[in-house]
Amino acid sequence: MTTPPLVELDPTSGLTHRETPRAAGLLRRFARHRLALVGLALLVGLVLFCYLGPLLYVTDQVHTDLGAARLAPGSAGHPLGTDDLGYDTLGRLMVAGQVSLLIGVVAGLIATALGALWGAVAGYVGGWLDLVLMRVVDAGVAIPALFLLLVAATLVTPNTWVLALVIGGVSWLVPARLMRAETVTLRERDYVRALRVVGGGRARAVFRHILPNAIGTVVVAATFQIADAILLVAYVSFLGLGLQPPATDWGGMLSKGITYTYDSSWWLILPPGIAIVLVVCAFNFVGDGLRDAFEVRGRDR
Amino acid sequence: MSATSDNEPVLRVDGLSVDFRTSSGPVTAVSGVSFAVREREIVAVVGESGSGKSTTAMAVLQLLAPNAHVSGGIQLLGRDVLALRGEQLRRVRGKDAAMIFQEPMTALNPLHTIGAQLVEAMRNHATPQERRSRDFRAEAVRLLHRVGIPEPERRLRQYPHQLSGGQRQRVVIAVALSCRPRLIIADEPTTALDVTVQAGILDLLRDIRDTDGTAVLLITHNMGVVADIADRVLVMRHGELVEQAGTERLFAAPSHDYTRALLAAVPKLGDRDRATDSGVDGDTKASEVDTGNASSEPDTGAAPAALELTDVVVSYATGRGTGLRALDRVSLRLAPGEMLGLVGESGSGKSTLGQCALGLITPDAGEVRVFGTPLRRARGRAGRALRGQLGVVFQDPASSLDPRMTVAQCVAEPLLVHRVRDRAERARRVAELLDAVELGSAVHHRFPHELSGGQRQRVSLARALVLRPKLLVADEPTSALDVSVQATVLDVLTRLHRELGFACLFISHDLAVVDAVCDRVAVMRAGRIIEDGPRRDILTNAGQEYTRQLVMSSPVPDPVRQRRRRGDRAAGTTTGAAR
Repeated sequence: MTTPPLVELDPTSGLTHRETPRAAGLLRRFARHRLALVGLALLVGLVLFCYLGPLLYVTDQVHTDLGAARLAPGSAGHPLGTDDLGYDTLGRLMVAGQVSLLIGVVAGLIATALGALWGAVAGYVGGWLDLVLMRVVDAGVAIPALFLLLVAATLVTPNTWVLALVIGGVSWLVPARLMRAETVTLRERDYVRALRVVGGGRARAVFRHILPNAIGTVVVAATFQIADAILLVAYVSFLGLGLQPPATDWGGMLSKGITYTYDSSWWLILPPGIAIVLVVCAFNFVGDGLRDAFEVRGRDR
Repeated sequence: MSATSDNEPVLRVDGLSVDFRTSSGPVTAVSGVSFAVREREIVAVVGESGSGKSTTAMAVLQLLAPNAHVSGGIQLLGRDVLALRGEQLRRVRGKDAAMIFQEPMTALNPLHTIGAQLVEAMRNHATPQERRSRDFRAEAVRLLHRVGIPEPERRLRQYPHQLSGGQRQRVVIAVALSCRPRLIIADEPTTALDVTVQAGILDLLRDIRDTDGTAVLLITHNMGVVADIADRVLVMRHGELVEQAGTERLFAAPSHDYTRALLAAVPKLGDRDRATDSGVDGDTKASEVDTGNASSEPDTGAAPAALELTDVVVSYATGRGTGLRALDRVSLRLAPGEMLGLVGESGSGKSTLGQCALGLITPDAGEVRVFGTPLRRARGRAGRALRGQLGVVFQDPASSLDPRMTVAQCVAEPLLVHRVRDRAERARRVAELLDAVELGSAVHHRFPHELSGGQRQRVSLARALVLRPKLLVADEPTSALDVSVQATVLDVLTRLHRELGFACLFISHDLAVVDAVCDRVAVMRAGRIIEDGPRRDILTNAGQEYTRQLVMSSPVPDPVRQRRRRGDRAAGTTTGAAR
């Protein structure tokens, strides 16, 4: 073709939209989400409370002290009172929080990682493997997670890591479905097809293209999974199948406190209850914020 | 129909400016544009993406997003549109000026019948008295008949999905005509349509103008369409009006540099033969073309074909079990080093054929051989080696590159797949290829979203060629690009084809582009290759009626030639008119 050279439109000029560098843009959009910032602040606060708190506010959470059982809040040295075995409630809230947060985060991450990989393989490979993998998920969803958890709790003595593993093991189903749906659309993107044309393998497609491009979905799923996992730990402990004393978590504290409801020992129930509500809300807010930050990619005007 | 006096245009736009308020400050989309559209006049607004042509059209009916700030004057039938609000504005829209959009499927509501939508449009602008007395249904039948839809009574009861794309656009035009507007604003009305269908729609618009005296403001990027239908042309660039002139004068003697460059960038059917004669870059071209022809001589027997399809059948399962045959016993042979253009309208199976050649689709029957090896049996190490001979460039620049990889990583990926372990060697080849597609070292560490569409397509080309493949499949590689950018990409492609000597299957719906780059042309229709031969024979002297129709229908960006062609087409068959 014989054409005079024509200057191509400079991508930065005119109306052509230009995205700000990835991380900065993401942060900016996240920061615009008020509730997400509140959630993030809450999370930071809770983590500091649970992990730094015991260093500043030293209490004995191993030995019982029946002489100081069920003291009301405000008693000398016990701002939130004590429980039926004489453990300081405020101190116990911190120690229990460590366990709840740890189990929640580990279980949530296990569930997301397992689910994402499962869904990506099913979606990318397709065919009969997809069919088999997704029917397994369907079957899993049909059985209540709590039921599986209770069965597991009766088989093994629960400690922190066992609980985290078990909860992670029963809650990967939803992320798997999400990831499969995402993969099915990503698989037909031209850059993935171009890779197939030159003989690129499945592992490369999944790990180099599909998973990185689904990172938004994965991260958002992870925050919701963590919130769910914290709730699940609370359920299980509440039903008395959680950790063995003297270790405890927020659900366990609730479970014990409920016995004394009619003696108006509100300080045994409200603090762990509020803590659970706060942490679950915080993770959900952060998840919402992240989802919006990832979704508006390229059209934040 | 009251006649407007000559000095009172239907639409007058004075110093129109549009700014969009965005989070990163105001962005000017249109600045200081003035023009007028008179009765019985078709005015085309042309420009590349981002030139502000659509924004201008939308501003006329105040259809812009709320963050748009419009200033200047817009007089429609002597009334100031910018002063209108609410109910007054609603009355102007549709009644005084109607709009036709690009995508007829989304312009119609899929849940309502054609008839219901036509009647609704008329009722909306009828007085309460008229609503009782008028026979809207009979008028709808007349309208459908007017826009050339056969069996209007039956069509009224049908839903949009039961109509073809061309018929849908005719229905949209019928809706637009329902209130007898004095001005029709058509925003890329034929861009989503095949050329044969496009020709029919343009004829219809011309006919409406001729019989009803309706003024038409036509927004388009297609110079062929402009040459075919417009009386006057406005050329826009970066939100400014750079030139306005009568169509014939603009094409014959464009006064602005940009217009000249734009016109020169448009590939013209049949222009290649003239260009080589005229000597511009002709010395290199002529000799290279010769060698190209030499290598494309059918050297059957000696070397195996770069690509050979034998009786390939691909069918897609449809809802009712009867498979739709996307490819129906297709056989095709591509010699090493040959550049074959595969043309056809949408749904003809050309992309499916390309995907078969790449092994992305496994045919239901028949065989695909690449350099003599059946693609189906190529597995493992041998399979990877064979796939190293293949390269591909897809149509959509937005999805052809992984948004999370830098340009250099994208281009290097095939090397990694083919175990080129030496980092320095990889970097060298990436740099070499990016250099070959005329992208400097500055882009290496950029991400795809920082590049323009044309740059991205050139990165795709670099990625496709980094393994030095012997067969390249280019599936509409420039269809999503502006003409000036298309010209650059095509130049790069033809130069690399000359230098590297790969065989190329060039899939396109644009005959002019195929004419500009290919040696041989194959025409597809309804899953079959109906004609296959040297470029010049197919495009100037086709054996098949369908091919001739296709060539006739694709508009040439030259008003004088186009008028002659239109005459020829009218004198010939009229079978394609209502499709």
